[in-house]
Amino acid sequence: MKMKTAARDFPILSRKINGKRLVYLDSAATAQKPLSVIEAEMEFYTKSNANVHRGMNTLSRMATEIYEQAHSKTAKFINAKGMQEIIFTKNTTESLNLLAYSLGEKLKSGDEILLTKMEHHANLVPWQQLAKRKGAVIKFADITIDGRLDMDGLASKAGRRTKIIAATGASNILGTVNPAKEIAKIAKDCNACSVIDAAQAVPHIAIDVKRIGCDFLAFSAHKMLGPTGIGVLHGREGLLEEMDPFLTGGDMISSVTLQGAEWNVLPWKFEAGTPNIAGAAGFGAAIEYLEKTGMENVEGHEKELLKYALKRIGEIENVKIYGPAKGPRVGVVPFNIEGMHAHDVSEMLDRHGIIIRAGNHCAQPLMHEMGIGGVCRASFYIYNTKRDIDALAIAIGDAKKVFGV
Amino acid sequence: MERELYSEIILDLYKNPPNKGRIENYSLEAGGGNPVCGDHVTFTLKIRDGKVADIKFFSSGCAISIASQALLSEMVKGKSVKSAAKINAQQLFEQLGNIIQTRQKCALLGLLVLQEGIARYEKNRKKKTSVKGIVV
Repeated sequence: MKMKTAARDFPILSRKINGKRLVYLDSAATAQKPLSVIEAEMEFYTKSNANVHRGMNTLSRMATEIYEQAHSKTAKFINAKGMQEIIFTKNTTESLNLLAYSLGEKLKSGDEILLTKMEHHANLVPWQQLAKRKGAVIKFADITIDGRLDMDGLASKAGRRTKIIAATGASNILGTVNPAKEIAKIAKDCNACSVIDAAQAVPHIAIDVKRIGCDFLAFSAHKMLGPTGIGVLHGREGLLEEMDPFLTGGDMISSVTLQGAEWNVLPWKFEAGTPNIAGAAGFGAAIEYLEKTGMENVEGHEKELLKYALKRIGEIENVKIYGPAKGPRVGVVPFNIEGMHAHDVSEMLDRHGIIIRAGNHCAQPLMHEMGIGGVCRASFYIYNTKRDIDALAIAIGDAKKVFGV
Repeated sequence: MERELYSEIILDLYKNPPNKGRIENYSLEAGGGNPVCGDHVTFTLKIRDGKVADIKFFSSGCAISIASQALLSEMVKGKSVKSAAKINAQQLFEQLGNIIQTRQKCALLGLLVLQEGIARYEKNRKKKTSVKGIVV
């Protein structure tokens, strides 16, 4: 598939913002959706809408098939063992909360949870709450000056008491891609469970959970061309079997008496209540779109855009770019204009039809570590082109002029 | 036609804010911010006979919050503390121009911090007062 024409598949990209062509550079927040995803949801509602796993009728069978197929497609996409290892949640945040409750239940006072200073609040606050409930201790791996994970430090902080190591697969601010395989190995060596927050990784790089060897991996559909309201928790089958469910109620049980209940088989044991079936239909279409494109092409395209952006934006006077100069990095460019607040930059770029994110990006500890109050972030996906980056560069120049910096 | 968010007055006040700085021998010090966006401001006031004899502020934030703080400092300087406590959001917005809804919080940061400080000063029976960490 040619990336140059990918934008045509995304209806929203033909609209205008403030009279200008929409230049969408905020895919790290949420990705735009191709027509095939929008149509898959519409088709579900127009042709197959019914509840899943209930009722012996044509519609329910169709809905169940669509819903289960989305699980199988997801399993194949990240090379998991099968559908039993794929739990659909609301989003990455819910996936991580599920873990903090169900996996965290076994923790005892004095047990350690090892995190990094690079985490999104979603992979920090649930563990903080768990630590409070259990009297566990949280330790943090540092980040290097150029924004990479201090792997030696991480390894040295893992030990006998470590029960969980949870780290981001790719930083939502810096774009740094962390060595998930090494992190999983460190966890394995000390008999701890490894958890990878892959919300920013799965949409942009080919992920193979067998190759990584992690115990758990969480991500969201909406950052990978799919609908909002549907996320994934991948877990190793044996571990999921041992864990108690997080949410309970309908669909997640096999038998119920007035005294108690027995749990359904995986993955349904962890999917209580009517799920987001239309979302699953759209998610399935999103995975198909990415497979047709080829994740190696997605990766290559973003790499090229990132290289161009770092040069083009980096050469503008008084613009500082953050993030690692070396090593793997997804298509995220964090920057600040000297003398301008990130919110003002974002507002000024909007006048040019350019959508970026500005602020602390749900990672206040990382911002504190970097010694900055806020940052602008331009992030790319398959529908972006060098022309978008040129537009960004021109708009930055204009913003500087208006603000006299 | 839509009015410009970054009006001349906002940009002027942002680029050359009056009353920037700090009064060491203050009667009231009021500091606080919005933890969500990270913007924060500290006002120091010299109060004599119930009037704001002098006011200075230092802050970190977006153009709208800084311009609004600068404007506010001009509005209260020389006026009675009582009248400063009565300034409302609408009066600020009118002078600043078109403040869209999503940025009204930026424009109100300074006002809320200053008025909370004044309330504490009054409660403290007008003795030297320092309030820090007001969360807006």
